[in-house]
Amino acid sequence: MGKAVAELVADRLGYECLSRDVLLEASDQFNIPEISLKRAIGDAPSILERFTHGSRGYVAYIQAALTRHLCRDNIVYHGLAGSVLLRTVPHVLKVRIIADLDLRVSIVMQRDGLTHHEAVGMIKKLDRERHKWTKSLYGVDPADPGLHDLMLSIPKYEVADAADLICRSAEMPQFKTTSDSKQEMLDLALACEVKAALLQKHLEVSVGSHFGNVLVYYDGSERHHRTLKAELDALERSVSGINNVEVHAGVSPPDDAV
Amino acid sequence: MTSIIVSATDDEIYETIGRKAASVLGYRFVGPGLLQQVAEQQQIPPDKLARALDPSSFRRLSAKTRRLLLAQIEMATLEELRTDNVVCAGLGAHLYVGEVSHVLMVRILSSESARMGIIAIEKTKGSLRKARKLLERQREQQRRWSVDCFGRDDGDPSNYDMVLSLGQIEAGKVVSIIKDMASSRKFKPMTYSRKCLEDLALASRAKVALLPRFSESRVRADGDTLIVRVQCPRRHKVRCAEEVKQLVGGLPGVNLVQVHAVSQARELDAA
Repeated sequence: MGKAVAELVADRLGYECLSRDVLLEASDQFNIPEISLKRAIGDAPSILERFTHGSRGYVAYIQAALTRHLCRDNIVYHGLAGSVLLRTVPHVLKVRIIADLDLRVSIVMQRDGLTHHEAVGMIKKLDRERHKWTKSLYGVDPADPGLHDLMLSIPKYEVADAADLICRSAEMPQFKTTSDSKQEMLDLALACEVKAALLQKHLEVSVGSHFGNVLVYYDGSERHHRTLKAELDALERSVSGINNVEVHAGVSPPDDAV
Repeated sequence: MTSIIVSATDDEIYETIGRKAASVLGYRFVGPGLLQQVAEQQQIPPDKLARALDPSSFRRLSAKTRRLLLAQIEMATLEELRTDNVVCAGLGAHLYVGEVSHVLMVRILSSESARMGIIAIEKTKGSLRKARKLLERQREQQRRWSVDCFGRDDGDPSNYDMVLSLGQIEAGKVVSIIKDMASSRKFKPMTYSRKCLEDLALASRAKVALLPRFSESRVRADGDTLIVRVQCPRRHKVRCAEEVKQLVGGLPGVNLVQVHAVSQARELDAA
């Protein structure tokens, strides 16, 4: 349902429509199989992954690819976690489409050739996994209305009606890109890129950015500090847009850090 | 013409948005003012009715009293909704008018940071941490109230046709979106949706008649037939069934009363 609405919105607004492309790009850039990335945003992290940075790392790669795309503007992204990944960006209109259980069951039965009982079980399992995923990675419920600007219940709206309403909302002045919000987006993209690069080197950190000044927060261990310093020096040279890097050890990261 | 139910996380918001939407659409606004009317009709203190709708104090009322008060509010609200062209807010209508397709149900979310700021100024002497805790407690109270009283989670977005957040969208735009949606053909009344509303209204009238005598009961209406489930001791089943028929059989619009007397509370909600 979400896909149909997103494609129609993109078509009407003349925007680019993204979903799997983000996974493919992250897969290419960070050399991770697409299936692993797909699992990382589809399945809840296992007990082991909660202690290592398995899923967390994959999510950072996806977030880096997604934010890089969004710096270009005029994009419709559909897929799990868009609202969570981009919750801090003000000019992104975050929409959730709600289809009732009966409708979802009939779609799954038709698509996968399952019985009613099997389809209900599959949908409930999927919802449980998604809930656990966002809860464990971001501490929020994906269905939390507070994460979205607009939520539409599909049984009452046809896809065209929903797309029409979204298009009109997207044209509101508060969702127009301003120089400030553009800068916020660039900063977010930069922070995501730095975080993804550091996670590739097995360095678990939180990263923020303000006008290209990158702030890195970590737990404060000495061994961590030396490796981090070396990696950041290399990144400062290789990643464009970094003005300065500050490292904060043993400081809890602010809310806008990724 | 359709009717609109506005629900919100903040009391001031549903009233402001509801009134604005009513004025823009030329509809009648039905809000907490209806409680005064119900209080006069049923001869109940209005503050008692307001308490039944208040998540922070509804537990001070006994379950039996609460059920009766809410049924009286429900009956009055449904009577208003039957007339069409109504914007209804603040009467919990989104929790009992679920199956009527021509009623547009809208939930408005206030900006979380703004709400927390107000709580911090008014109640927690500027502490945002305490304000966040208080806000979470209020949300939980609201959820418990809706689940205990109506069996539905008030915060569940799937209970609404549309959820709009005031974090980014201004109140004026929200009203204009509601106006556009209300004119959509999806929300035009049809024979079936009108029947659903009539059924709900009839069931609520029967509930008000039954609750003083049978506090553990469930009522459903289908056309001119009332289907009533009451809890009573097994040996009194026949007498209870007769009593139920006497209480609701004479209500206008009732032709047949089916009574299912059950001995266990869990059987009340059985299909």
